[in-house]
Amino acid sequence: MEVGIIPIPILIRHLGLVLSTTEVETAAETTAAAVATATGENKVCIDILLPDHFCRVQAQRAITVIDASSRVVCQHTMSMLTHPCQATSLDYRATYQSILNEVKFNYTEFVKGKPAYFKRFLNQGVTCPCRNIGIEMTTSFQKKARGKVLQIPGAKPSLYNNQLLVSTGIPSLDQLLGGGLAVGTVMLVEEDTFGSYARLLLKYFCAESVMTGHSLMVSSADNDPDQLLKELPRPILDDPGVKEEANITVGEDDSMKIAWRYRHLPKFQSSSTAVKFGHYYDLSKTMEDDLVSTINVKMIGSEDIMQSPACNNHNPKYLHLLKSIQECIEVGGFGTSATPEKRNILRIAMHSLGSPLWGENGGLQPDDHYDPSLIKFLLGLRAILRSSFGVCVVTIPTHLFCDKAFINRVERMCDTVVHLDSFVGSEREKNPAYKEYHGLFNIKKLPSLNTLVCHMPESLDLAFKLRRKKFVIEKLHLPPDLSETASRSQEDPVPKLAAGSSCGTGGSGKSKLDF
Amino acid sequence: MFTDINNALNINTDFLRNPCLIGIGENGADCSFLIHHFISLYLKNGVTVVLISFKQALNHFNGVGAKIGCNLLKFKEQNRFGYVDGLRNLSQCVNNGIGNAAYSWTNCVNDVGHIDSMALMKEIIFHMSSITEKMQEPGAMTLIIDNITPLLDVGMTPTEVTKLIQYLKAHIENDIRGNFVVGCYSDKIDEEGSTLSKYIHHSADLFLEVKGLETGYCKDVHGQLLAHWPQGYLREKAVTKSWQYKLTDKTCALFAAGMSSAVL
Repeated sequence: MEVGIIPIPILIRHLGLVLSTTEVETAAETTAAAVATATGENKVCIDILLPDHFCRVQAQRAITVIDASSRVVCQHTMSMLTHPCQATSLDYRATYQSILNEVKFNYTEFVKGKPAYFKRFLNQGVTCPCRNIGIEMTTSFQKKARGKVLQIPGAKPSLYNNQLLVSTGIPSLDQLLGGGLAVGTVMLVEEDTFGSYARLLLKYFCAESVMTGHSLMVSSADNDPDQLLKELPRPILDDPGVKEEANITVGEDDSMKIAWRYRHLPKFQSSSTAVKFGHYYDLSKTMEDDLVSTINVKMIGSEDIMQSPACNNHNPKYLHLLKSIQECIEVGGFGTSATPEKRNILRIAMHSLGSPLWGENGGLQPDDHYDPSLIKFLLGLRAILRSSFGVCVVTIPTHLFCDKAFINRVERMCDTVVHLDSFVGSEREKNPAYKEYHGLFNIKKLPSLNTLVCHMPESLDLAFKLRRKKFVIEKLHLPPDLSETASRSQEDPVPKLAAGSSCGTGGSGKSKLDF
Repeated sequence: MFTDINNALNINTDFLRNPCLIGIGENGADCSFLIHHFISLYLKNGVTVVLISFKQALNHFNGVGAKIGCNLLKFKEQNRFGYVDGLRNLSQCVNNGIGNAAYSWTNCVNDVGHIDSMALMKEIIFHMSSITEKMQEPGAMTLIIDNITPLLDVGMTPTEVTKLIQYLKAHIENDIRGNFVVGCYSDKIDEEGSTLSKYIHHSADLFLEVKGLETGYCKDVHGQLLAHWPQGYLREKAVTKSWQYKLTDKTCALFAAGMSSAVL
C-alpha cells in the first residue's frame, strides 16, 4: 500500500466566496477521483487546507464523506488558518508559513515525479496577495454561481451570507461587523457624551464614500453638513500593493528556488484581491476639496428641515428627511427595481438625529404623551432601504433620552447597533487600566440577515483609541502592570459590560462569571 | 423544521390541526429561529402559511428557508405560502404615505395618526383570504406574525393591540379553524411591551420564551428556551419546561441546562 500513495496538498481558497461543506466535499472527491484516474492508483491521499470559516465539525464531516468513497487513505486537515494577510499576530503568520513550507516541500517531491498532470490541478498559478508565499493551488472546482454576481465598486459579497457589504472606512470596525456593513441596512451609533467620536465615525464613513465613488447624502441639524465634509480625513493613497509588486519581480528568482517549476507560469490575481476593500486614512490632514467633489453629495442642513410643513401626527422634520431620502433614491436609480446603466450605492450619513434640534424629546411630547416619531422614522428608513442599494449610518445621542424603554425601541428598529462610551469627563479617565484607550466600544446588536446565526466577533470586550493619525477599535487589553500605588479600594477596572447581541445577552450582567 | 424542537415540544399532527394560539416572547435573545421553525413545520405538514413580518423582508426568509431545507418560493408558487410585507405597509401608513409599498394600509390610520385595530384587522383578513382563495383544495391554515411589538412601538396603545390579537384569534379559531403564531418582545423595562406580552402569554395555548443567559454572551450556548402550557380550565398544574439552545448555520440544538456539548 505504500506504493501508490501520493500526497497532494490542495489549498481550497475561499476567494471571497462562501463554500459550504458539500462543496468542499465535492471538490475533494472530484480531485481525488481525478488524481486516482490520472495516476492509475486506487488510493490517494489528500491534504486539505480549509479557510477558517469552516468549523472543525464541518471539516470532520467533509473528511468522513471522502473516506466513504474509499479513494482516500488518509487525510490531514490543516484547518482553522486565516489568510496571512488577515493574521493579526505574528504567530499565526509563522504557523501558516511553516505549514505552507511543508506543503511546498511535498509539492516539489511530487512534481519531480509527475509534472504533467499536476498542472491539471493547477488552475492558474495563484500568488498570495501578501506576496511572501510563492504558490498557492486552487482546485479546478468552480463554485456554481448563484445568479449573477453583482459587481459594484467598493462593495464585496459577504463571506457568511449572500449580502453585499460596504466598508465603514474603519478596517477594525469592518472586521467586527463580519466584513463590513450590509447594503440595505441601518447602523445606529449611540453617541458618546460629547459626540466627538461619533462624528469621527461619520467622517470615516463619508470619506470611504468619496474613495469608493458611492453617492453620499449627509444630514445634520447641529452643524452644517458642509462643515462635516470639509473635515474628512485624507486617504493614504500610496498603494503598498504596488510596491510589493515591484519587489516580487526583483526577488522572483529567489522565491522560486524550491518551486522552480512554476517560474514560467503567469501570476493570477483573484478577483477578491483586485477589489480593494477599505481604505486607510490620515487624520492629521484633510481630504482635498476636489476629491470630495468627485461624488454626488446631497446635503440636508438645518435650513432645509426648518422649512418642512407642519404636521399634527408626526415630527415634520423627520418626515421631510424621509421624503428627501426617498426622492434621492428614486432620482438616483438606487432602488432594487430600477435599472440604471451603472449600479451604484447610496450612503446616507445622519449626524446626531434625535437631538433637541430635531424637536426630539426622548420620545415624549410636551404633554408627556408618547411620541413615536423617531421610531416611525427609523421604521420608514429601514423599509425604504430594504428595497434599495443604500446603507445608512445614524448617530443618535441616546444619552439625552430619559426613558430606557424608548432607547430599547430605537435599538430594535435598527439592524446594527453600537455604542460609544468615552471616558472623557468621567472618573474612568484617570483609571490606570484604561490609560491607552479613549473609550469603550459596545456592540449591542448585530444583524442576522439571510442566516439563522449572526457573525459574532471573537470578543465583545472592545475599546477604541484615537491616535494622532488614526482611530482604532480593538480588544480591550489591560496594561501589563497597573500602577502599584493604585489603591486597593478602587473598584474592579474591568468594566461590567452589558453584553448584548442578537445571539444572546446578559439580563443584568451583574455576575462576574463568564463563559 | 428543527427536529430537536419538535421532539422537545411534542409536536404532532393533532397539534397542527387543532386551532390554537402560540405565543413567542423574546427577552434578550433573538427568537427568529422559532419563527423559521414554525414556518417550515407547517409548510412541510401540508398547512398553508400566511406570514406577516414587521421586522424583515421576504429575502431574509427565503435565504434562511433555503438553508434549513424549506424552499419558500416553491411553496409560494403552489399557493401554500403567502407573505404580507408588514414592514413596508406599516411604515408607509405611519409616515404619511412616504414609501413604496405594494398595498396601502392608509385607511387604518386616522388624521391624528392613530392606528385603528378594526381597520387593521380587516386588512389582515383581506390578505389572508386573498391567499386562501387561491388554494386548490381547502385545508388548514396558519397565520404567523413575526413580531407584533412594532405596532406598539409606532404608537398603538396596548389595548388596541390586544384587541387586534383578540379579533384575529377569534376569526382564526372560529372561522378558519387554523393556528395563530404571534411573536412579541417581553422586556421588563418596557411597561407597555410587557403588558402586551403578558396578555399573549395568558391567552396562548403554548407560550415559548427565548431568553439570553444571565451571565452574558456565550459562543456555545446561545440562550434559554422556556415553554409554558397554560392549562386553562383544567385543574392540573401548568407545565413549564426549559432548555438551553445553540444555533448553528442550519439547525438548532436543544439540550438541558448544563448539558451543552461544550461543557460535557
